[in-house]
Amino acid sequence: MIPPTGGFVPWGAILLGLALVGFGAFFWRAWRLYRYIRLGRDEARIDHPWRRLRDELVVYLGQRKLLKRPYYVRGLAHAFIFWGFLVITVGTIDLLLSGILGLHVPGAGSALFAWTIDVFAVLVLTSIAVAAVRRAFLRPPRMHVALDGYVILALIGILMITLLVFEGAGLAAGNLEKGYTPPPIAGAILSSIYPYESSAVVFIYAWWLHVITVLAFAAYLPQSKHLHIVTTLPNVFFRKQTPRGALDLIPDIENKDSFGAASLRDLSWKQLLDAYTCTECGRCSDNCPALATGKPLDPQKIVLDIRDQLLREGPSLLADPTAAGTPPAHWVESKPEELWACTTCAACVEACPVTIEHIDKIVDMRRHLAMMESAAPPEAQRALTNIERAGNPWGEPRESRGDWARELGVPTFAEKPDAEWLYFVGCAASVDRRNQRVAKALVSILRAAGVSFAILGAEETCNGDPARRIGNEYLWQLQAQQNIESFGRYGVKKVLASCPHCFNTIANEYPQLGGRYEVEHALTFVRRLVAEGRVRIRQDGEDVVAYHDPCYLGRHNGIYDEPRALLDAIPGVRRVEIAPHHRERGFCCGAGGGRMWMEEKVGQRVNHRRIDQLMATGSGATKVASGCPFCLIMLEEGVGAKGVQDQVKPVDVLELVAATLDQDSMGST
Amino acid sequence: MALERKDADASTTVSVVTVGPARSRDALRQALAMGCDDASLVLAEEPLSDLAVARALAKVALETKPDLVLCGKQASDDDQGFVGPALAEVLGWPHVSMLTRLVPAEGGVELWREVEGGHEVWKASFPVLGTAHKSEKEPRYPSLPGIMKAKKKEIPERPVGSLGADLGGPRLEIVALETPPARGGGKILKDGDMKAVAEQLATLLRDEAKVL
Repeated sequence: MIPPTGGFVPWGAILLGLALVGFGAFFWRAWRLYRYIRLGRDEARIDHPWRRLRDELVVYLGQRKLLKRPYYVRGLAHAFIFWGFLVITVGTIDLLLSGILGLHVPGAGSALFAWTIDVFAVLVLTSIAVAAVRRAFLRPPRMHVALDGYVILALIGILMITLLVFEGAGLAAGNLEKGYTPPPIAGAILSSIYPYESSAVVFIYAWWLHVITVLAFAAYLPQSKHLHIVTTLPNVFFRKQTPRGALDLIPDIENKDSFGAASLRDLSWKQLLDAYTCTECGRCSDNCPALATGKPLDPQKIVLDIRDQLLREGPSLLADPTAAGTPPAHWVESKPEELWACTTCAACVEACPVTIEHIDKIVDMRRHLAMMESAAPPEAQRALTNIERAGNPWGEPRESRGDWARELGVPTFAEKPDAEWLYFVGCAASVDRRNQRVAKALVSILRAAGVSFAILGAEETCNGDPARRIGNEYLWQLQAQQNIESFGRYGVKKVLASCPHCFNTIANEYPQLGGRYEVEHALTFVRRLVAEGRVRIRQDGEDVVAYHDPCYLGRHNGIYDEPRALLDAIPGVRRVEIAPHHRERGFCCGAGGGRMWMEEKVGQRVNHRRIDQLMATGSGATKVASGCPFCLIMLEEGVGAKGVQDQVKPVDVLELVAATLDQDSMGST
Repeated sequence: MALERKDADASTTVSVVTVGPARSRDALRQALAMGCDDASLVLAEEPLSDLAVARALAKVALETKPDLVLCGKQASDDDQGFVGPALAEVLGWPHVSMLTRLVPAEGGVELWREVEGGHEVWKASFPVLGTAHKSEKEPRYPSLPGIMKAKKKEIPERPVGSLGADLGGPRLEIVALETPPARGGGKILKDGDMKAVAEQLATLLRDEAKVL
C-alpha cells in the first residue's frame, strides 16, 4: 500500500510525532503500573516453563477459557475480536512503518494478507455489534457496565470502519499495490461506491483517522480495563502451575512475625497483576455460590477492589517505602463477612477467562484475620480449637477415632504394619455417624477385592484442610506434620482417602512439607477395582441417580469422569446430571473452605439452593450421589429442609457400590 | 475477665499461677499466648487436698500482692468449688463467687454475679478474690504471634514443698462410684384413635405408674 504520507516529509514527521505521543503515553502509564505491581511481595512463578508456554498457546492464543459453557456465543465474538486484533496489529505496524519510514513488514503486501485483514475486519465489526447490543440491551445481571466498555467498543468500531473504508477507497484510487487479485471482498464492495475522483480524498481521511485512532487507543489502553489485552499475556504465563487445590505454604512460620495479607504489600506481585488483568466480565460472579445465595461476597469485587486500591495508594506507597498502606479495601470498608462467605469451591477460578486466582487472595486475607487478629467467626474458632485439642473439628475424643472400625475388625497399622494401603479415614467418616456408613461401605469393597489395607485409628489426626482454608496456616502445618510423622512411622507409601478434602490436602499440599505419597481418592480407586474385575457388582433394583460433583474432586482435581463411570458400571443405575450445574460448573454444597463449621445466616443456604437445582431438573432422580462426606451432610440437611427426603435420598457412590457387591466375589483375590 | 481489664487499662498486669503436675504448663502457656504477662507453676505431681492447694496459693498471693485474685468457680473433675473460697479464707480477704462481670469502681471494683432473673452487684475494695463463672465473652483465641511469644517465655517452677505451706489437712476419699440404673425403654401408644390412646394412657398412668 502506498501511504498518504509517502514521499511527503512533513506528513511523515507529523505521524512520527503523533506516534511518539501515543506510545509515549502508553509506556509512561505502563511503567507506573509496573512499579505498582512491584510493591507486592516476591513470588517465584517460573516453574514448568513448557506448561506455561503451552498455556499461552491454549489460553491466550486459543482463547480456551473464553469458549466455555454457557458462554459460547459471546466467547466466540470475543475470540474473533482478539484474533482480528492480532492479525490487524501486524497491518497496523506495517501502516505506521510505511507511513513514517516507508518500510514494510515482509508479506504485508500480499493478497493473502490483505484478504485475511479484510475478513477479520468484518468479523471484528460484527462481533463489536454483538457486544454492543448485549451490553446495551441484553445485559447479563452480573456484568459491570461502565462507560469504559462503550469507549473501547467505539474505538474498535472506528478502527474497523476506517480500515475498510480506506481499503475500499484505496482500491478505487489505485493506491493499493498490484497483486491483490482477487481483491479482498469487503474492500472490493466498498471500492465500488466511491467514484474515482473522491476516492483519493476519502482514502487520505480514512487512513489518517484510522492511524490517529490507533494511537489514541494506545494512550487510552492502560487507563482502561482493556489493558487486559496486554496483561493477559504475562498473567497466563505466570499462572499457578502447582495443583489448583494447593494453597501456598508459609515457610518457616515459627520465625515470622506477620502472617497473611494486611496491606497491598502483603499480596504478591502476581496477585496485583491479576487485579490489572480483570476484564470486569463477571463470569466469576456468575458462578459464585455465595453471591448466588445472597451473601456479601462477590469474587469480581475482591479483584477490582484490589485494583482500585492499588491505583489509589500506589503513588503514596511508592513515595514512602516504609508506609505499610491500609488493609485491602474489602475487609475494611465492607466488613470481613465477604471473606468468610467463600467456600473455596473454585467456580470463580474455573470461570475466569484470564486465569485470575481469587481463592489465594481471599485465603491470604483470611490468614491475616485468623492468625494476627484472632478474628475468625466464633464457630470457626471453636472448630479450630477442637482440631487443636482433639484432632477433629467436631471435638470428639481423639481416642474414639477408630471406634467405628473396631467392630468390623479393621486392622490399624500398629496391628498390620505390612499393609499396602493406608486408608486415611478422615474426621467425618471417623466421628459422624452418617459418614461412618460410607467408611464401612468402602471397607466391604476393599475386602471383597482383597486389597491389603490398614487404618491409623487413634493415631490419625485431622488432615488440616479446614484450618488451612479458614486461614490458620500454623494449625494446618501442625496437623500435617503430625500425620506425616505417623505415615513415616509405618513406612506408608500409598494413601487412600474417601474424603476429597483429605485427598486434596495429602496429595497436593503435604508435598510442601516433604510428605510425598501415592494418593488416591476412593472413587477412582474403586472404579479401577471394578474395571479390572476385582469386585463384581450384581443388579439390585432400579435407581435414577444424580451425581453431585464435590468441588475438591472436580474443579480442584479434575476428577469428573471416574465417579460417573463407576455409577455407570452399577447395573440398574441410570445416571442423570444436575444440569446445567454439573462437571466444571458444579455448584458447591456450601461446606468447603471451613464453611462446614460456620453459621450461614445471610441469604438462602447454599445447600438448599443445590437441592432446588436438583429438583428443578425434573430428572426424577431417586438418589443424589456424591463422593464427599461434607457434601453428604449438606445434601442430607438440604433434602430434609426442603421436605423432599422421601423423593430423593443422598448417598455416597461407595454406598451404592457396596450395596450391590456380589458376595461370591468376597475375598476372591 | 482479667484480660478484658488489661484491654481496658494497659497498665494492668495479669499473672497466672497454678498448682499441679508438669503438664499444667500447657494451660499456662495457653494463658500467656492469650496475653497474660507472666506465669508460674507450683509443681505438685501428687494430688493435694483442696485446702493444701489453697494454702500454697495463699503463699504465692502474699508474695506477689495482687489487688484482685480470680479463680475458676469449680474444678472440672471433682466439682468441689472449694479452692477459691478457701484461698480467700486463708488470706482473710473478702470473696464473691460465680462472677460474670467486673466493673472498675472508685477505690475498688464492682463484682457482678448472676442470680435468677437478674444480677447481684457487689462492691469491694482491694484486695479481693472472685471466682469466675462465665464471662460475657468466649475465651479469646490466641493470635499466632501471641503463641510464638508465649513459646519463648520462661515459666518459672518451684516444688510445692518449698513454699512452707501446711500441706496437711482433711482429704476427701472417694468410697464408691456408681452409674445411675439404666432406664427401661418407653412405651409408645399408637393403637386406635386419639380418644382410645388417651384412655390407655390414663389407665397406664393410674395402674402401672401409679401417679394418678
